[in-house]
Amino acid sequence: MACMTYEEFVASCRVLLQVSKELGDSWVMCHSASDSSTIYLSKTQCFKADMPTPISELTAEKSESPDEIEKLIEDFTQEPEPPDPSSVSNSTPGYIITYEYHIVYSLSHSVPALYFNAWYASGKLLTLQEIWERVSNQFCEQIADNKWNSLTQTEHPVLGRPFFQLHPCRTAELMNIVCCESEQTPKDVKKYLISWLSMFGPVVGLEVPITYYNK
Amino acid sequence: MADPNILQFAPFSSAVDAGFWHHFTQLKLDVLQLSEEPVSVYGSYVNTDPPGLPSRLCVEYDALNRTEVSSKSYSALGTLINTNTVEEFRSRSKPDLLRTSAEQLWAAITSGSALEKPSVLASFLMFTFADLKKYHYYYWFAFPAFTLQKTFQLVRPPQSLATALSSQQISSLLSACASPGSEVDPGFFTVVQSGTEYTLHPLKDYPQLRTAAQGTEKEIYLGFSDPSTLPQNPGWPLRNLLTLVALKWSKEFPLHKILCLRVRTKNGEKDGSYGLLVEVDLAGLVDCLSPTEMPPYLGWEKNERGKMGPRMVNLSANMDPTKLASSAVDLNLKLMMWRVAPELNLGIVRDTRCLLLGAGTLGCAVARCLMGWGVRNITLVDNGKVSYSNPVRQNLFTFDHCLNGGVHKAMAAAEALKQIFPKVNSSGAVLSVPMPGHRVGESMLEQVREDVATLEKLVETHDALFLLMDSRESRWLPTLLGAAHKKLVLTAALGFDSFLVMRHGVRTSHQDDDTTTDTHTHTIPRGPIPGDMLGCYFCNDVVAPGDSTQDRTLDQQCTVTRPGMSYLAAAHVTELLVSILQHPDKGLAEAAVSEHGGASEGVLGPVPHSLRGFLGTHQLLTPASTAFQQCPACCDKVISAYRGEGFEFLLKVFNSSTYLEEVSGLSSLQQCVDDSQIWELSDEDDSGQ
Repeated sequence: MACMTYEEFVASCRVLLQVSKELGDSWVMCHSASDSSTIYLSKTQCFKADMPTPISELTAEKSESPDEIEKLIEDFTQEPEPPDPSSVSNSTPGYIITYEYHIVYSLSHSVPALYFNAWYASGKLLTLQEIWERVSNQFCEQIADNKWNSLTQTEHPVLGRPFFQLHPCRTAELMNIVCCESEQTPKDVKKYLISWLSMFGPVVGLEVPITYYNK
Repeated sequence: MADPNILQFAPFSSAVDAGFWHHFTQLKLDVLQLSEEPVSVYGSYVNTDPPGLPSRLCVEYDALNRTEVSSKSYSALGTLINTNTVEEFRSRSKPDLLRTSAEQLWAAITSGSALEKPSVLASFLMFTFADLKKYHYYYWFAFPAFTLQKTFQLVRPPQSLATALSSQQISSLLSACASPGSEVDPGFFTVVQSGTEYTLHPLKDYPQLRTAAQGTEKEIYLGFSDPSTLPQNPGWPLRNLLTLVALKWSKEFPLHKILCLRVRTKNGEKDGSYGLLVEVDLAGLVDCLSPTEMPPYLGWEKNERGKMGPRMVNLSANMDPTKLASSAVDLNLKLMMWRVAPELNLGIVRDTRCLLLGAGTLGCAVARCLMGWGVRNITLVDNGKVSYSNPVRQNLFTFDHCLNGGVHKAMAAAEALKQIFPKVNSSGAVLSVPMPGHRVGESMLEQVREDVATLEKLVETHDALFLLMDSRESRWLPTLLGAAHKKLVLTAALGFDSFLVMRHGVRTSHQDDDTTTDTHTHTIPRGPIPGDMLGCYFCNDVVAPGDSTQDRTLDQQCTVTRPGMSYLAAAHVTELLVSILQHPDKGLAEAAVSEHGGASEGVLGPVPHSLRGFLGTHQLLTPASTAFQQCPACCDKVISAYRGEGFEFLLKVFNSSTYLEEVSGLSSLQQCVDDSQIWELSDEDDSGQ
C-alpha cells in the first residue's frame, strides 16, 4: 500500500518544509485562497540555458509577423550610452528560465503530484513542446516512450490555471517498490514525500540533495 | 582587456515573474486607468544563485502590492511608469526618465536617507506600455548608477573568501548574516570582525565603528548581499553603495574593505566561500564629488538583442480569455488523446467544415456536440424563426430570441455558438431548401434559383453535411448535392420514440466514370458493405419524395417526439461523423451487415451504416444496406441529369415528383412491381382469405 491520505500528505509536507528550512532550501507552504486547509508546497528555481535567446518565442506568435514587431522594437532603440568602464561589458550569452514547482495532493490517486510552470525572463510561459525539449537526456527516452502519460499540461487543482504535471497515475505503484516495508510506520510517511520527490523532481530539473534523507 | 586596477560591476538583468503581467493588467484597468503617474514596484534579488546565472532583479507576481520580500531575498525599490500609447512610449525622453530616477537616488545618498534605508541603493525604474487588446507588453528596465569622473580603484584584485578567510571565519560570517538583527538591513550593512568572530551592524554605524576600531584588533568591513556570480566582479548594488561611501566617508577613510556575501547551498550545506573580498581606494574620488552636483548617470538595460532598446513580450497565449478558452478546449480534447486513444487525430476533426441543414432541435444539439469535439467551422441553414415553443427543446435559443416575432434560427444559433466559444467560426444562412413536388411559381423562380445557388456554394465549401430537417422531401436536394460533390453526408431523423441516424454512401471518381455505361451492375457483397456502395436516405424507398406535408394535421406537421430523442440522435450522428473521420478509409469505411459483421475498425471502432434507436424498448440496431440503383436521390442517372442540366433539371423535379421517378427509373420499377404484386394480392383477396 503506497498511497497516502491527505492528512499524511500534510504531515509529510511539514516535515519536508522543516528539513528545507534547516538545509537552507526554499520550499514554502501555500494555501488555497478559497479553503485554507488545502495546502501545497512551492519552490522557485532558475536555470540558465546556454543558447541565444529565442527571440521568436519572446515576441511574436506564429500568426503574427515577427518582422513587424522587430521593426517596432528597432524604432525604439536608442543611441548607445557611452562606454562605461565600471561595468562588466559582455555578460555571457544565454537566457534564464524560472521554474516554479508545486507539490500538490492528488485526490484521485491519493498520492503527491508534481506540478510546475516555467517562464522566460520576460514572464512568458514555456509551451509544452518547449518543456519536453528541456527534459534532461537521462529521462528523455522514458518520457518519449510514454510521452502522453507522463508529462502533460493540465489544470492546477488548487489554482485552476494551466500547469504542467508529471502524471501521478503510477506513483502508488512505484512507491510500493520503494516503501516495501510491510508495516507502515509514521516514519515512513515522512520519508515518503522525500523519496517520491527525489524520483520525480530530477526529470524536470528539480534535484533533491541526499542530505534531505539524512536529516 | 579591462584595466585590472579598476573595479567593475556586474549589471542587473531583469526577470519578470509570469504572474506579474496579470497583476499589472488588473492595476492598469482598475486603478491606474489612464494615469501615467509613477507607481511603486517592489523588486528583489538573491545572493544564492549558482555560478553562471546573471545577477537577476526579479519583479515577482505581487510586486505591485507587496511591502516586503521573502526572507531569502533582498528588496529593491522600483518605480513603474506606464504610458497609455505606443507613441508616448516611443517619444518619451529616455534620458529625462532616467534623470528623475537618478535624482531621487542622488537625493537619498546626499541627504543620508539611504543610510537609514539602504535598499534604495538598489532602486530601479520600469518603463512600460501595455497593449491590452493584443496582450503585448513593452517594457524597459533601468538600474540607475552614477559615472564618476574617476573609477573605483582596487587596492588589489578581488579575492574569493575561500582564499581571504579561513573556513571557520566564513562559517562565523554566515551565521552572523543568518540572523542580522532587526536594526540591520540584510542587503547593506557593516561587518565587524574580531578574531574569528563576526557581527553585523547597521550601515550608518560604519564611520563610528571605524573610528572605534582604530588601534584595536578589530577589522571593519562594508558588507552587502551580492547578486553577482562572477569570480572577479561584485554586483550592481555595490556601485551605488561605493558612491555613497565616496561622498560621505572617504575624506576620513579613503581605504575600504568590502565583503561581498554570496551564499550557496550545496547538498544541504551553506557555502559562503564564493563570496568576494574587495579592497578599494577612494581617495581620488573625494575631490570630484559634491553633494550639490549630481554626477552623470546611466543604467538602461540592453534588450535580448544586445541593444539599447525595450523588450516586448506577447502574452496573448497566457492571458487573452479567448485564447485561454481555446487552449483549454484543445487541452481537454488532447487529454482524451493522451489518456485513452493515442491514435486519435484531433486535427482532422477540428478541420472538418460542417454544414448543418436545419437549426432546430437536432441542429442545435449537433452544433454543440461538434464544438465539444473541437470542430471550428460550423454553418447552419434554416429559414425558420425562433418561436415560443422552441427554446425549451432547442438548446441554443432563449426566451429573448422569440420576442418581436422571433429572430432567424440560423443566425441566432450561429451567434449563440460564438457566445459559447468565441473561437468558433460559425455562420448562419437563411434559406429554404427547395423540395421535389413543391411547385415553383413564376414569382418565386428567382428566389429559388438563388437559394439553389447558395446551397450549391455551401455544399462545395464544406466537408460534411448534416441533414437535420423535419421533412423527408427537404432532404432530397442536399442528398443529391452531397452525392454529386462527393461530400460526407449524414442524416438524422426523429420519430415519436425512435430515431434514424445514417451516413450516406460516398461516391468515388470510379463511379463517376461508370455513369456512361448503363450495363454496370453492382454485385451485392456478402460480407461488410464498402463505403461507396452504401445507400442514402432515399435508397430504401420506392416512391420519390413529394409533398408530404400536404394532407397532414397540425400534430403531424410538427415534429412530435419525446424530448430526449433529439439529444440521442444528435449525439449519435456527431459521433458517427467522428468515427468515420477516425477510420483510415474515412467515408469509404465498410459497414458490417450483421452484428458480428467483422467490418474493419478505425481508431474509435467499426463504423456502422445506420443506427435505429427505439426508446420504447431501449434498443439500438445498426442495419446496413446497399445503394439502390433507381434511388431518386443518389443514383447515377439522377446525378448525371443534375450534372448535365443543372438548375433546369432541379426545377423540373420541384414542379413534378413523377418526373424524378421517370428519370431514376423508379416508375418503371413501380410498373413491374404493380403488375406482378397487384395480381397476387387480388388473387388472395378473391380467395376470400
